Amino acid sequence: MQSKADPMPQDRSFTFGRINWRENIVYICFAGVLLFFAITIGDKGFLTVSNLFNIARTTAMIAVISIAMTFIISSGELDLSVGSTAALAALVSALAIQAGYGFVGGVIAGLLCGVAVGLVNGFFVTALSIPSFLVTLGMMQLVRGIDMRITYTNPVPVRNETFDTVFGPGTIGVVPTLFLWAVAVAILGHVVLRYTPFGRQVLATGGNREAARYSGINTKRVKIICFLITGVGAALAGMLWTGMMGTARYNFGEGAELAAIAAVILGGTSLFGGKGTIIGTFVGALLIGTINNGLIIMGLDVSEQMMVAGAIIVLAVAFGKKPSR
Amino acid sequence: MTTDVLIMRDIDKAFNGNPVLRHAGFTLRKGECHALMGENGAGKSTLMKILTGVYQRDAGTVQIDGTDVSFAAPRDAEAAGIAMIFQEFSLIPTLTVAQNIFLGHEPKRGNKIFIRDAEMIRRAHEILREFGENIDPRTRVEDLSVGAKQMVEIAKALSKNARIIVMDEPTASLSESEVETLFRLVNQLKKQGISIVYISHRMAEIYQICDRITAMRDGRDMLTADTSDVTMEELIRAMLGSDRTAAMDWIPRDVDMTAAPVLEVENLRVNGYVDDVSFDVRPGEILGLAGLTGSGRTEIVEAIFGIRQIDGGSVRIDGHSVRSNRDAIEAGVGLVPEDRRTQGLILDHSLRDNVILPNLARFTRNLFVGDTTARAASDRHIADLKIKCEGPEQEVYLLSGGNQQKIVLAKWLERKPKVLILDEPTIGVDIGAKSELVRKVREIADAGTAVVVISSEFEELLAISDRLLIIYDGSVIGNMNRKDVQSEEALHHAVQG
Repeated sequence: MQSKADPMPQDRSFTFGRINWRENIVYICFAGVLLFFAITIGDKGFLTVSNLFNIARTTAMIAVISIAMTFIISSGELDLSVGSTAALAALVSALAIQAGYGFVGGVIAGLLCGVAVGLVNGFFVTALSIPSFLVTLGMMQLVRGIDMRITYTNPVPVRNETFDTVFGPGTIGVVPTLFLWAVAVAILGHVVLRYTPFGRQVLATGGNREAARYSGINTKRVKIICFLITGVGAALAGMLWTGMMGTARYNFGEGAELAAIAAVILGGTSLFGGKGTIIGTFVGALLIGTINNGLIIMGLDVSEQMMVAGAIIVLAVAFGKKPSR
Repeated sequence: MTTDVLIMRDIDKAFNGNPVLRHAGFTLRKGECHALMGENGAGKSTLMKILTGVYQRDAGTVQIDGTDVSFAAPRDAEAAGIAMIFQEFSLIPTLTVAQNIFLGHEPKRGNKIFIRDAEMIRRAHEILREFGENIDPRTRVEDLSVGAKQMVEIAKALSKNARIIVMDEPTASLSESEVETLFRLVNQLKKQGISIVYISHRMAEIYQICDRITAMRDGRDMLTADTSDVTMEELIRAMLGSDRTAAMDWIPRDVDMTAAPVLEVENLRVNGYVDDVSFDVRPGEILGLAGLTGSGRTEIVEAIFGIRQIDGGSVRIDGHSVRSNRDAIEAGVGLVPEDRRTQGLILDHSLRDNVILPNLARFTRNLFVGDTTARAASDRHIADLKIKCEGPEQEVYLLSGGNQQKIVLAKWLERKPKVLILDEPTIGVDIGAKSELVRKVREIADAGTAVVVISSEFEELLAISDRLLIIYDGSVIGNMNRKDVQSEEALHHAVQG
């Protein structure tokens, strides 16, 4: 007998007043963390404009990667190769500029690195049906190896005025350029995911691939485009790193994939696909950056920072967990 | 001298106040194969789930070997020697045959920690050899054919000393030779004194393999008899009864059969499923596809919808060939798929997001999806189809089966389809929503859409179809006008091949 009467489950997410805690955990956490640091270390420089902009600047790269990562996770896949791709794009663009191809040539070369990695990932995941975790885990290693080999781990300095202006550590008005990049990418990502047909296709593919397919959506195409988005997003982040440092290094973005996944999940995107929010991701990235910054000012050493940041992520995700049904 | 190993008496069971079993009874003798028949919803599965400890009965008694028993969980039933072989196999594909057979009760070494691998393989081999099956116990289950998997499933039951084995539609996805192997095995199990409950809709098989038959209807056992004493007609009558609802009465419709067909299927072939199927459907016509589960019905419509690879033949809409899913959708084909939860809907998403999914292009203005127009369209469908919900923003997993199915229908109605295909549209749908759907399908056809309906519920198929194709084993074996079909019994007869 087919289920005689499908039960009517109740939404058991806990609400307090009109606030849904589960869906807004990242904002609540962010506000709580800001408040906590303002009270405890407000007088040690945490609240100064220059420190807040410093957080914004150093968080920009992870924010850009996280926003791109929101797409691939929303589609039900994962991309671990973003960190090494960022370094690849940084090195290749720096070498191109060094070789005299100029700013535009350098940026195009860098972005093409992201496209290439994205296509390889997309091909293996869709055409050969290999889980994205495995494909991109391998690509993470493979590309990092390429990063190390290209210049035998030597840094590549970039001396190009346009590059410095566009990607550098400076400001436009009072706002750091790097942060403006992150904001611009966030707005673009939000609009695409939330308001375009492509965004709906991504969420549908992640929500139920079969049902999306039966609705006429080319789910393989959707996934390949999502891998291109993470590739290109990572490439952009790599060039931002070069801009901030003035030099491209093979070790850019080490661990960035995990920080980005943490930001995405903290932000309220489902690790299993189907639900995604760019604004949540952006705040998630800022939250991670703020925690790191505050802990440094509090005088914690690296080991202590890692323990506290890790614990906060686990707790936040636990509170934000959807009730099982 | 026969002995009853199992006696179930006066079993009652209700879900949410809806009685599903009313004083149902069932007896099983030692070493017999006993068919359990009935339409979908008659209560066969519920009765067997009570026997296997999945559900608990509200009232009644169950006796095994003359002792009253009550199973709180499947584990208890298993310990009493009762096993169920499900349609979807419960094997773990990545483990070997031997590991699956002994899962949870592996032979251990003296220290009770380490598994005796060689012993396990030897014993698995022994059980399988008794069947006359040449399956290597070291093969992984994922590399086996469907038939072989079923053998492993049965071997698993035997390794736990099962004395009663319940088989749910065991031949639905088996090839002819695999069916023969299964029947040989069933006979062998009977000789060993093992009793088998055989749930199936396939009467030819039942007459071939079963000793006795119990037919159920509306939660009751209507008839129990030796197979040799009961005719197919008597059996069908016992299952169908005469209390039919008015909503399921046939309303003859006028269809212009001289009009050019909108859907033409010619020599369609899908390897392993569909063999040389041809038919066409005219605008406004409702064509019913009648056949048993596994007859190829679903594969035919999936091929028309372009979501299943065609190995030969052609599908044309308005004379234009359709080669892909994209072609089909653009030409105006819509499919309400068989499994609403996995194929029809994104359960976590809102009603609105589900409705617009096949229609994203239509709702897009200047690159952006128009949420306001989408909401307005959803509101229209909610009113039109009488969908019970809080509004377009409500997530669909919160809705009942009938309302969910209406949303799947709305997805395609939004496109004003030329050809609408419905595959088992009323599974898991309550009677109210069911008659609602029937009424709606007639209305859609009256507006000129060609409709193709698959249903295992022949009452419903006869209520809405203008014409019926009988599908058997991947081929069309009959094509009849509704008015020439005298009764539901006749249709039940026809699909048996």
